[in-house]
Amino acid sequence: MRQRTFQRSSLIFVMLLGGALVPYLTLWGCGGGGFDAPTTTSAPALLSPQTLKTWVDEGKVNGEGYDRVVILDVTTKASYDNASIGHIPGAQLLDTGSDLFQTRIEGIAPAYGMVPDGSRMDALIRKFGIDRNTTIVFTTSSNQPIIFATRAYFTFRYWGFPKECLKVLDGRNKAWNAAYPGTLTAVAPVVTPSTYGVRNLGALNAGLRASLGEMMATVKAASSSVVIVDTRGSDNAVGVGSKYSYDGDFGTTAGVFLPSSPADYVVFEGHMKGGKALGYTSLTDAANNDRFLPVDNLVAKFGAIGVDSSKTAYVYCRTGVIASSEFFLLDAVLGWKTILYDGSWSQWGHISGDSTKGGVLDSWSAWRTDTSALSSLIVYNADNTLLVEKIALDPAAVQMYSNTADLNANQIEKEDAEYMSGSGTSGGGTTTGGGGGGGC
Amino acid sequence: MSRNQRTGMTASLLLCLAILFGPLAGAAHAGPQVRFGTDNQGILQIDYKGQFQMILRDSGSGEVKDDSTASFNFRRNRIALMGKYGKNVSIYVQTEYTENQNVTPLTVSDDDSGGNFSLLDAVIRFRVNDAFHVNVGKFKYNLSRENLEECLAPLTLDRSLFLRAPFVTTRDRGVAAWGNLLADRFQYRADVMEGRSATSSAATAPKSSFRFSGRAHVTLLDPENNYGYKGTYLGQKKVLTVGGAVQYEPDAAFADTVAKTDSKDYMAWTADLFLEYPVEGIGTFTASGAYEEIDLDDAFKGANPDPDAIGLNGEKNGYYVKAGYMLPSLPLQIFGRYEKWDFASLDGIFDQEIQWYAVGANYYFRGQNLKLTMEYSKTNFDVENATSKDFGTFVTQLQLWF
Repeated sequence: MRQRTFQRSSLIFVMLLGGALVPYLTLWGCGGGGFDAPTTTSAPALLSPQTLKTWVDEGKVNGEGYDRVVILDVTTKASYDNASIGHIPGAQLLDTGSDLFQTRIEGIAPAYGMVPDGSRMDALIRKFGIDRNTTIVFTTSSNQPIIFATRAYFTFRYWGFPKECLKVLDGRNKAWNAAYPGTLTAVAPVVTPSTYGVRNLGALNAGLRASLGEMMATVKAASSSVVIVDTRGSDNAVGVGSKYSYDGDFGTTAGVFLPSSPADYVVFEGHMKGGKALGYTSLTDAANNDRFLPVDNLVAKFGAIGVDSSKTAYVYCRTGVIASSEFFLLDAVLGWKTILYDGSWSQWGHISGDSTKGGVLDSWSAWRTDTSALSSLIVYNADNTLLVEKIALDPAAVQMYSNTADLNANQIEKEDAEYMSGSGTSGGGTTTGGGGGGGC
Repeated sequence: MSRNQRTGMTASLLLCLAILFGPLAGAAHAGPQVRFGTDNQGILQIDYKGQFQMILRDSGSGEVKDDSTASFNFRRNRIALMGKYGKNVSIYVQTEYTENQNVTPLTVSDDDSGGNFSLLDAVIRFRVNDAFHVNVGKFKYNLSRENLEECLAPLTLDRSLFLRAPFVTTRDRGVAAWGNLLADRFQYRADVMEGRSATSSAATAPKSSFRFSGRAHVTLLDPENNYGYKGTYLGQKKVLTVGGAVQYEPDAAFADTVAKTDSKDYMAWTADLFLEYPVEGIGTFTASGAYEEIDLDDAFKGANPDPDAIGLNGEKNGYYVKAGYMLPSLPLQIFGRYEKWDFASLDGIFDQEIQWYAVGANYYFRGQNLKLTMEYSKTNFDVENATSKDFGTFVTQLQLWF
């Protein structure tokens, strides 16, 4: 009897202590709490001038520490240095003339306006003082369209920067100037270079970019889960200008390799088979400093051409710049799956196998795009007495790559991935500090 | 649970049955002892300590690391030499050899990590009396209770994966003084250790300084009066111990390792509670928990923080709770464990939080000398990215202390 009473009281003792243990430790746990996370990374991807002004005032621009900001004004040197145009205090020049684009071989020929290679990216990153703690804000001059800022967003995303580290100033410098008149400046900041580089980011986001071969395969597959979006516009979808390649209007896609005078053009106009037109200017509000439309309106606009959260949108334009605006909206603002076809129509419209129209491919070449299986509303510029720019094929690539699905014919992404892994030869450059994967 | 893990559980059960009815069932022995000196005052004993694991994780392999991973490996593989001469001097020397431990707490490494032989412990222990002992050499430092628990006598599969102090392993080199007072109800400890090593200091640390620790506990019922604790006493003691510790090292890390500026001190503290209570005819209840805070004065906010000031062993705080129940008539102990940790910066994510859950069981064939443990754990990240994705791990471990 005595023993049983002892056992019972022992059990009650244990249960009371055990019951007290869990809340005791839980309270301890609550006492510690989390750490201060950077505030700039959690800001919306489409940044308001007011938020950026706060960061400028807080000294975060070109500052130090784990919550710093670099503003890149993606424009021409002439606009950046012009006092009457000006740039946001502390903003650095990302020159559209020399920094952002590169002619690189893809498939069987050089392609204009491709993503810069690894060594060029590393040089830019270091020059701008970008490190693992940097949130990058892209903007552009009031006299330039927002598409240059979004093209820089795409480029940095492709090279592995996490989404939360990249912002685009809504309405660019024009909206800033409207909110804070008289604050734009022609004075360039002095910035300490960093030792950071793309290899610190872990991996290339190659899935965000479509090569020529990948785009051809996508068009041929005609998957119901894919929507191909022509961002140049059309008669029925506001775009840039009043004549549209999408509609088969001749003389709308200028050549990209030769000087602009005399005017020359790609071999043919038209659009990718199955492509839907959504001109990027229909997604901006001209009455509000060209700021992007509210999210509900964007969802409706994309929804009208069949793009929603369940689809993958392949966006293209003439050189991959205009298309980057819709890439940015889908990737950063809506968080939907999107892929940018980097070569766009300046590449696609050149890959003709009709020598009588200025095409330089063999008529039987698997690479030719002026076929009914790949393109619609094909209109040859030569038929309209326009000068056609002939591309120079790469003889070695023509010999090696007869199959458009050959992964080796995706030279740009192959070379960039090798650079990322440290085995590439494009540029040299080593990186120090940080570690693989993440940071901003 | 993945197919791999289900297969593993079946294999584990077969292994369990084989051990139950096979020749190993009665094979555990103490290590050999040698006596020497006048009146046989000297004793030398050699032990082998092995923990052999089968690990099944539902991710970590393949090109994008989302294929399951299966691995056999040693968690611990040690030879220990224990010696004593008279009542006042003893030694403890222990070696470790592990190879290719590619399955780590949060990742599976791409390359074989190779073999690693080390002298884990090498300590000379002087006992003046119960109230004053001195340890000299390489041994466990005095911060968290769980790190001080005998590796082969945990309640769960292992100690916390997250409570290690920065810049050192589970051991350090130095001198410790400790003793029991008030009829063993109170224990104090103080040590001076190497901390961040002088070699690394020359390259990246602001200074070469010693690390200082202080720890105390109050122990009720049957006292815990040794330098090492245990995670369970298998119902052989009634224990209630409350303890706490602090640790400090000045100028331990730079917040900007490139400019070599913004020196930061290291400071840590912990508080812990342990309870084990056997109830006759009902079984043994065990519960324990601890909170720990590792502070490097916000080095993670610096321009180029020391890589060891962030990450798994860098600035963080968190706690664990664990509980077990051992049957009265069968040497079977079931257990559960929960941990929650906030990391200042982990794999590029600031203020990352990890929640860790585990359930499992120990079957003691010969106490801690021969034990089979199975544990399923889940590791959940508050913020997921390419390198931080939730995963589950199933481990079967055979422990032999020979």
